[in-house]
Amino acid sequence: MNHSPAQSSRLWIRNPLAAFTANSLDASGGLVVSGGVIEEVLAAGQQPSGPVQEIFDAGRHVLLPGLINTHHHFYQTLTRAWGPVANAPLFPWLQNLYPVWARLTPRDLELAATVALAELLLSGCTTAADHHYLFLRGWRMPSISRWRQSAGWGCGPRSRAAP
Amino acid sequence: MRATLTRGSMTLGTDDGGLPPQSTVQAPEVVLEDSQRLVGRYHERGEDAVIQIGLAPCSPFSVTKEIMAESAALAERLDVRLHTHLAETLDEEDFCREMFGLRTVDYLDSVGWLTDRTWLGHGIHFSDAEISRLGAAGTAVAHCPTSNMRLASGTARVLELEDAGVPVGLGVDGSASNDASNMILEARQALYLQRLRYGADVPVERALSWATRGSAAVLGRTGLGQLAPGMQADLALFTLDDLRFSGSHDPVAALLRCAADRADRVMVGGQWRVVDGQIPGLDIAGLIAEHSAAARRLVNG
Repeated sequence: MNHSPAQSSRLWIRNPLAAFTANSLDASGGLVVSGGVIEEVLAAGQQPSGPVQEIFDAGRHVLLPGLINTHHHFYQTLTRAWGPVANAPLFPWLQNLYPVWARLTPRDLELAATVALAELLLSGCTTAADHHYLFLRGWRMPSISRWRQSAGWGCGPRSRAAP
Repeated sequence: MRATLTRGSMTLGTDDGGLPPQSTVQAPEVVLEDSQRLVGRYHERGEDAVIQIGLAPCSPFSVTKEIMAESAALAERLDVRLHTHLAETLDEEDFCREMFGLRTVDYLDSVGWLTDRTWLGHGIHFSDAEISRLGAAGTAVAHCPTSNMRLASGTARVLELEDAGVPVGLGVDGSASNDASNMILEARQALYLQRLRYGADVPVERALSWATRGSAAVLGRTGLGQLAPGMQADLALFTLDDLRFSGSHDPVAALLRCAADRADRVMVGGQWRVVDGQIPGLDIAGLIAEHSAAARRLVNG
């Protein structure tokens, strides 16, 4: 499972170079993280209210809330920069891509989702939405179970065993 | 990572006046049964949920009104979110008028989707009155600037949507129309596209808000998107050591101004998932090799 000892100890992400909190709080002194949540937001010069077991010095880092992607179609990573639709608007773009997408296999989908998620994660994204609407040859949502099985690097479910 | 995985659907093929080929559409009862199964099996609730399921008939030109209405009823019963494409292009608006005799927001209302359970991909072509209706309903919009520019779909009226009460977040959109999946670059693109519409007084912080707090609201995730006590420890940390940042002054502004494209550290639920710009445990080179081969096979038939 995803629970490491770090979740029960307190981590101080100390004195970031700068922070954007998406609210009126000042996080110049950093954050205290424990049990998977933010316990404290520290203003400039402020110290954690109690002992911390770990310190990450963020003096070189700009700190943001994890970015959240609200619209994607993971399977489309297999048809990036494809010549025949390079200069087409939506309807002809779709009409030329549908027959290609109709050949997708469950393994293609697993690879495509892994690529999309990895790319998003590396860009600072921590939550991603996928809109998957291609169910071919009697598929029953291959993307979820495949995606979960392939995602040993951090996409496992919260509380259930893998299928 | 956390994910909102939507069970999409296409039920209106070319035989019935829709856009997708008949081989890609499903019977509505199959869609609804599978949707219910997936929610029951995978949907997690609570602020720390990792995986959530939503219901997502694809677009007005690829689904029937019946599956829209039935999906809305099922989402209400199961308490999950609803997602679809709407008002992306004028072609789509014309399709709605010809097929259903309705403008897009009237169509949305007619199938029971004008609610705060719904978020719309794109949301570009709305009248002033339609923006007010969306705001009053709390219906959310996923703004996808790069895709909208690539397909020349139009420019979403993001500031007016927000002023009306519409939650607005960002989406990179599918990789056939972006074609990158890079969220920090998408925030930069949103900043500059909205400046083209509204003028230079759109601050960097507003674009970062769309990518964080706004997006969390769009997905109905109250525990995400801000640095505050009690929020999930989901964090992105960027260094400014690359050549592209040299000479920059405001570190937060520099992320978007100088086109940051890669985080140095990313934490999800208190766990580091990116360390030194790498994903521990993921063989990127192997993934690229296999994925590229699959992509070539796919387009070559």
